[in-house]
Amino acid sequence: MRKVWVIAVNTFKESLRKKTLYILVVFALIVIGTSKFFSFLTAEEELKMIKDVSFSTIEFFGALIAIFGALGALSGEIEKRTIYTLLTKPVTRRNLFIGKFLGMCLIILVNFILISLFFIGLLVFKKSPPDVETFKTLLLIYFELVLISTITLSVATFASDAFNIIFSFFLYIIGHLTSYGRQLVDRTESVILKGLGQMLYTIVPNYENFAIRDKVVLGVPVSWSYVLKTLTYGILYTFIVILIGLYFFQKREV
Amino acid sequence: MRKNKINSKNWVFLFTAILLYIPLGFLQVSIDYNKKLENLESGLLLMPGQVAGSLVLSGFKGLAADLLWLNIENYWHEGQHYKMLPLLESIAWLQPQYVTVWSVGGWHMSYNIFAQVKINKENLIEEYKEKVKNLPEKDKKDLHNIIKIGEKLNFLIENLGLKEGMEEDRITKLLTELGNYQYFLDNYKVNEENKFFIDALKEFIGIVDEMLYWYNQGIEFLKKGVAYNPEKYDLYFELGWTYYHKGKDYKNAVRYLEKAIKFPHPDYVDDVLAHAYEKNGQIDLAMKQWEKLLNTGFKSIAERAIQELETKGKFTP
Amino acid sequence: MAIIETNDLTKIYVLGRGKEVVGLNKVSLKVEEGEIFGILGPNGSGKTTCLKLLLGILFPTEGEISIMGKNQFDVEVKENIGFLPENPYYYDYLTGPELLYFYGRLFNMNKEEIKERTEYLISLVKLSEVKKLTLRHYSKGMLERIGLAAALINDPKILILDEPTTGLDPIGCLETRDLLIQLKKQGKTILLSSHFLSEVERVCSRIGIFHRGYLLTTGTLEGLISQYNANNLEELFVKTIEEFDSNYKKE
Repeated sequence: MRKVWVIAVNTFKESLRKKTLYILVVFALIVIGTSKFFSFLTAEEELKMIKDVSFSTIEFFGALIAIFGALGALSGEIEKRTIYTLLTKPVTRRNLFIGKFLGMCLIILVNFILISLFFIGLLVFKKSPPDVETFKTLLLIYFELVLISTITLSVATFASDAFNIIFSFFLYIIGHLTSYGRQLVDRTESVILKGLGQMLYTIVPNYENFAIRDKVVLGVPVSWSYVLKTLTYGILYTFIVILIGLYFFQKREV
Repeated sequence: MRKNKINSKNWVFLFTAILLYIPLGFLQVSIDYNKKLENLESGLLLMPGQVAGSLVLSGFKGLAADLLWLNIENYWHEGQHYKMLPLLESIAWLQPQYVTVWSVGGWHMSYNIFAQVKINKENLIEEYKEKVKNLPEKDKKDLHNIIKIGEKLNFLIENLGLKEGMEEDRITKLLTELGNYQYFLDNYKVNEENKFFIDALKEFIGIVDEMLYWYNQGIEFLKKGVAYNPEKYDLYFELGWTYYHKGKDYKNAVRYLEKAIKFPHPDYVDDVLAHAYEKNGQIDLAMKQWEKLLNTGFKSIAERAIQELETKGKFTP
Repeated sequence: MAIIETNDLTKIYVLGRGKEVVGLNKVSLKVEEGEIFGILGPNGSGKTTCLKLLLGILFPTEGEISIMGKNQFDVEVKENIGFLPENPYYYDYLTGPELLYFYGRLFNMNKEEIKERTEYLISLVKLSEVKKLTLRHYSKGMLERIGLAAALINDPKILILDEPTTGLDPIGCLETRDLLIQLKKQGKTILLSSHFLSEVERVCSRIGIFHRGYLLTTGTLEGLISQYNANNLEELFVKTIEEFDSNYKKE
C-alpha cells in the first residue's frame, strides 16, 4: 500500500513542476477576479454574477486540469519511457495504476482548493459568506472532476493522446446533455429505441447530476439526500472506470 | 511449467465493471426521482429556447444569462430600450426561474418604455400646443373638431398611468375610441393649413396606442413569469403592483396580490393588498389586512388606516 | 541451477492488417548464478526484446521464462532485479538523489537505508559533484551513470543492462567495466546486451549471439572461438551470422 502512495506523491510532484497546470490555474483566477468588476450592477445581480462565473470557471478549468493532468500522468510516462523503470520495480501494474489515480485526485484537489479559496475569499469580501449550499456545489464539482480525470486516465491505457483528448471533451459535452436525450427518447413510441436510449443514458456518465450550481445560485435548496446519492454515483462510476483501466493496463505492452 | 501470463484473472476486472453498471443504472433512476421532487430538473419541454441554449452552452446557462444581462444594463443606460426586449426574452428562455429577469423585464415594459414613448415625442407635443395657442380665432373655429380630439389625446398621453387608469374594459373602450379618431382623421380633407395638425394627431394616436401596448406587454411578460414560478410570491406581487399602481385596475390587483400572500412574503405585500382592497370597494377585507399588519413594522400606518376606515370609510388617497 | 532460464521463448509482434514481425524465435537461454552473460547481435536482432520479456514489460507469445525459479512477474523476483534501460529515461525534474529516493521507496526501503545507499552509489558512479542538479541538465553519460546507480539501489541479485556503455567516453567505459567486475565478485549475476564487442570480450564469462530473433549460439568465448575456428570475437561474430544468413536464404 505504501508503494501506491509513493507513486501518487510522485505523480503529484511531477505536476507541480509542469507549467501547464499553473497556467490554467492562473487563468481561472483571472476570470473569477474579473467578475468582481461588475459593480454597476445591483448587489444581488453582482453576487449572482460572481457565483455563476466562479462555479463555471471552477468546473471548466477544473475539467481542463483533470483531462490534461491525467494525460500527463500516464501517457506522458509511456511516451517518455519512464514507465519502463516503474514496471521493472516490485510494484504490480494494479498498484501502479491506482497510484496514478490517487496522484490525480491529489492534483485536482490542490488546484481545486486554490481556485475555490479565491472564490470564497471574494464572497467574504462582498459580505456574503458562503453557505452550506455553496459547499455542496463545490463538493459535487470536485467529484465530477475526479470522474472526468479517471476516464481520461483509463482511456490512456489503450488509446493515443489525440484520441483521448477528443474523446474526453466529447464525453464531457455529451455527459451534460444526456438528460435531455433521455427525455426525447421517453417520448418515442418504439420500445427498442426506449431501451437503447435508457441503456445509453446509463452508460454515458451523467455529468448533469453534479450540476446543481444553476439552481443553488437562484436560491433553490438541494437536499443532502440528493447530494449523497450523486456522490455515490460519482464514486461508483469512478470505480467502474478504474476497473476498466486496470483491465487494459494489465494487458498493455510498452 | 510456470504461468507466464501477468494475470490470468484479468477478465474479472472487466466483468465486474460491466456488472456494476446495473446498480449504477438503479442509482441514476433514484437520482432522477430526487431531481423531479426537488425541482432540479431542466425540463426538455420547458422551453425550446432552453434546449437550444443548453446545446450550445452545455451547463453554463447561468453564466450566459448573466452575460446577456450585462447587455441589457448597457442598452438601458444608453437609452436603447427596444433592444432590451429580445434579450429579456432570451434570458427568460435560459433561466425561467430567475425571478429578477421577469420582474425587471415587466417593469421596463410597463413603466420605462411606457414613459419613453411619450418622451420621444415631447418636441412634437410642445410644437403642437404652441401652434394651437397661436392659431387665429377663425382657424380655431374651422379646426374645432381636430382641436377637441387633440385635447383628448393629450390628456390621455399626460395622464394615463398616473391619474387615469388602464383597467381591462377601459383599454378596450380606449382602443375603440382611438380607432374612431383614426377613421375620422383618415377621411378628413387635408389642406395646407390643417396638414400639420392632422399629422400631429395621428402621431398622438400612435403614442397612446403604444403606451397601452407596452403596459399590456409588461403584464403579459409577468404572467409568463408567474407560470414558471408559481410557488413564489415575487411575480404575483409584481403583477398586483403593476395593476394597482400603473393600471389602477384594482380588481386584477386584488386578484394577484391575494395569490402572492399565499406564499412566504414580506409585509409590504400585505400593505399593498390592504390599499387595493379599499380601492376595490372591499372595505371589510381591507380592515382585516390592516389588522394583520398591526404586529408588523406597518403598525402605525395600520392603526391610522383602521381608524380612518371606521370613521371616514376612506384611507388611501 | 540456472538463475535465469528461458524455454522456446517466442515473441511475435502483430502490426495491424495481419502483418506480423517475429521479435524472438524459440530462444532457449540459460544464465548461471554469479556469471556475467553478454548477449550480442546487430540492431533489431532481438536483444532488447529478450530483455523486455525477462523483465515483464512485454508478454511472450509462446514459451516460458523462469527467474530464480519463479515467473517474471513475481514481486519477489522484481525485488532482486536491477534494470538499466537502453536510452536512459528518467524524470527530468528530479535530482539524482531524489530519483534514487523514489525508486528506493518502491523497494520498500526505509529512509535511512536509502540515504546510506544513495551516498554510496552517488560516489560510486562519480556524480557527487552534481547532487543538486536536476536530471534535465545531465549529459547522456551522466544519465547512464545515474541509471546504473538507480539499478543498484536495491542491491539486486540480478542486474540486467541494456547497452550500458552507450554514450560513455572511453574512461567511462573503463570505469563501468571495472564496476561490473566488482559487482560480479560480490556474487551478482549480470546479463547485459551490447554491440561493443571489445567490452563484451573483456567482461563476459559467457556470451550469446542473436540475429533476426534467433539465438544462434551460446557458450564461453574461448569455447566458441575454437568451435567456429575464429581468431577473435569479431570474426566469430561475423562467421556465425554469415552461416545463419546462408542457411536462411536456402530456406
